[in-house]
Amino acid sequence: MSILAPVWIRDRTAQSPLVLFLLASVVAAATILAPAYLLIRVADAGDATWDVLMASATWEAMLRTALLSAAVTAGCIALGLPLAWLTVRTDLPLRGMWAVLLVLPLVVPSYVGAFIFVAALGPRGMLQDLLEPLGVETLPEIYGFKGAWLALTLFSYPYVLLPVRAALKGLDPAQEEAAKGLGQGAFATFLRVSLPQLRPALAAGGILAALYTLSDFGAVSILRFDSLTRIIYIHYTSAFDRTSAATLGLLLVVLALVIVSLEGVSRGRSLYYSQGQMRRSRRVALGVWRWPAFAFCLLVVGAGVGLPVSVVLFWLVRGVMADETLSFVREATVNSVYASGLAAVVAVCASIPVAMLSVRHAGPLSSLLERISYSGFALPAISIALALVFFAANYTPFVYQTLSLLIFAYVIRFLPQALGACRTSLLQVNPRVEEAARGLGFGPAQVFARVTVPQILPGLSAGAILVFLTAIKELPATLLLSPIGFDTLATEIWSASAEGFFARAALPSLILLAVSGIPMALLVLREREVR
Amino acid sequence: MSTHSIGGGPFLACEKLSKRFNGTTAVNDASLSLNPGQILALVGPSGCGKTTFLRLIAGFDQPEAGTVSLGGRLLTGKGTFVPPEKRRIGMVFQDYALFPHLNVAANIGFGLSRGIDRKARVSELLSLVGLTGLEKRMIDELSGGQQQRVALARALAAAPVLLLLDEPFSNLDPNMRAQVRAEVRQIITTLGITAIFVTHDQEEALSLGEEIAVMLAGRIVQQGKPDDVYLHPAHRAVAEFLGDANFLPGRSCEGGFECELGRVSAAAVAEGAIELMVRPENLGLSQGYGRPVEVMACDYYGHDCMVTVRLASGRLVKVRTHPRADISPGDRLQIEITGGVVVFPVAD
Repeated sequence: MSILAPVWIRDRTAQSPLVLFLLASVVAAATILAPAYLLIRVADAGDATWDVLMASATWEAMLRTALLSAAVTAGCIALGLPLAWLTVRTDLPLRGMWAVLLVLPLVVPSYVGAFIFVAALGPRGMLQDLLEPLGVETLPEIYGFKGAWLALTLFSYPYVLLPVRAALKGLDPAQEEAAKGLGQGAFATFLRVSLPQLRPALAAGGILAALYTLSDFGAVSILRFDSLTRIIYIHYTSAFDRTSAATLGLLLVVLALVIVSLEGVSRGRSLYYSQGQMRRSRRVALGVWRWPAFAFCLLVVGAGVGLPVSVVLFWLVRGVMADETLSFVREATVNSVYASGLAAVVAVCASIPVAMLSVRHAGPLSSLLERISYSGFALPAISIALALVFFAANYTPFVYQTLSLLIFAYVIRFLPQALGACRTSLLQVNPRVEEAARGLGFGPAQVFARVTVPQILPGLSAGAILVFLTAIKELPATLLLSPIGFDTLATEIWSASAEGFFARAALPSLILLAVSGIPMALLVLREREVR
Repeated sequence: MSTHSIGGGPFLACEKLSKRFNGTTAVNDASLSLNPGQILALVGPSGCGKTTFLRLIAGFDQPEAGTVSLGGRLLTGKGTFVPPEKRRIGMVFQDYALFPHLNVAANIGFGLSRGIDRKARVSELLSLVGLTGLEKRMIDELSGGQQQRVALARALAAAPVLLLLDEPFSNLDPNMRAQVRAEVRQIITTLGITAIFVTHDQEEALSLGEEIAVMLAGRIVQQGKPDDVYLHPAHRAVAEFLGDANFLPGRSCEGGFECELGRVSAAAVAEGAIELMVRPENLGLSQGYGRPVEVMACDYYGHDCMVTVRLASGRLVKVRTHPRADISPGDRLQIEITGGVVVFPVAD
């Protein structure tokens, strides 16, 4: 049984929320600082910007990036849609187990996935070692478009799987039965009745996968595919040519905005809803197709979960046996936890005024501030990081090369997650309860501390954990903004795998996998219990 | 703060309050006054603006126009706005709005400063509302009636000078309502607190209020003693809303008024076309006196009986009688006016 908590949307508080408004404005301003400054920086450069914009290499890079995004999105839908259907609507053997395992590839950071691909399938990799005695000399090329596409698809298809699965569970089986009653076969029913209703979920998941691909830096770099993020980083580190890095960073933001705006179009105009009492839908009997379906799931989970874990373990054992030094991992772990923890706390604190304003004082201004604060969702981390580097170097040299700049980038990037959690929990606090406390003689600040906070604390903690888990895996902003000598798990993995030291990358990768995998598995298990 | 009014004015005075939400007028030029120690029932149909009016008094909403003063002190209006926490007005919310993260004792003691007397005060209040022994319970472990009493105790704990209750009994099941109502009234009168409670239930308003104010479409159309408002409604709408009423067209004549049921003697209050309002209990059915009617329906309520009859003109009229078994649909009887009537002028 699902527990539906009451939701309090409207409120009419007499006091003008000036303090809240000021705080929320500061948060929103901080969020748009990065893209706004990038725009100013690029516009200021004048001729140099023109040169970049007129260069055919720029547009080829744009095209490559867009193509990769489109291909990965298509791949994610091709994997996610059938897997969602199999695990929700059929008598697939071990359905419950697959439902959990099929989500787990999401916890593999793209750069870990890429390094595992290279280690396992690349030249002189594990597969070649296995096959060489059989006379196989060369393997298909792993670097370039195909490798990047495969790795990104394999580790981001759950972005499509999860919303489609939720939508499938919410479909009214009576509609499908009606279609069958009208003489439509099972396949025609799926095409003409179910699929159109899954369109919003497919669109939402597809947008996530496309944005993820667009802003991915680790996988394309390790697999040597020249998408925008990789080129930006190369331009940036080659140091002389910062205008082109800035211009490309801005173009990347533009691409991201285009993708986000596609969602409204692809969602379609119809409103879908189910009427009447929902029943559990009958499971489709797969018959002889049960075992091919089983093998399909096994293959995906094997490649998306089994392969990463076994490769990492293999290199860990090999490294330990070769007396590889592991002491650096301790410091990297402490740094990672420290930076992500700080980011989580700051992001949650920053989300409170914005969420309070939008929930308790709804209006055009508060919704504008809220929308702006959500923009980190679409901003590629490398663009945020570039903008902050330039801004700090020019205007605030005292924060340049300090941890605070990195935390700031994390907060902008991951604020949407904290905001979502904070907003949801605030919606469940009855505003009358807050007023009751006012009537008992307490001012707004005291009411917030004594009445509101205790009630939203679980939601705030969930938001903080979410930010922590995503920040700890973040790579491009960490590479650009970490103070010199501040190595994290992510940067250690990146530098080790870039140089082919797979054994050195193994333990940090395992830690990251465990840190994000365990909570994800618990979350999925709990979701199943609630149902 | 003094609990007595200054200069002989009312204790609570709301003058010409208006409040709009997104273009809809919730409260429209509404005025109300109350003497210390009185219990006023603010009654009106759902959506008439009662709750908003209460919130304007408590300071949870700010009106566009009008003033609120309490004990001679201006709370709202003329550029003044005292925040709710500085008004010493207790509020019992319709959904009680108890603190879900605190237990019963902590809810009641929320508004009290920490100290030795806090505990004593909480247990005093617990016994006042009859919840002794439940101090450690969480809110979701209480019944609706118990929650209601915690809400009352919490509001009383801060020693308010005015207590506002928003539909306090609407969430209770009908069997409990009358009992809780009597208990709450007992507590409020014992403490001598000035109180306003909002209700859409006319019976509740008439029985519980020492004073009653009728609100219709954002305006307070009449305030007075319950019997006065019932017997002398100032507007047709008030008569319609409070109790059952029959309306009959008529005209003024020598020494009174004339309608389908006959002549009524009264001092002339209007010229020309008028409308007479007769309560069903002020009509009598018999064989032999008055105008002929046909019985259409007879609804039996145990303590009395509501008979619907058709006049010669076809107009239907309701008559309240003591329970009698000798009337059934189709009977032909005579009707006459046996009590007071109210005359309303008909707007052209």
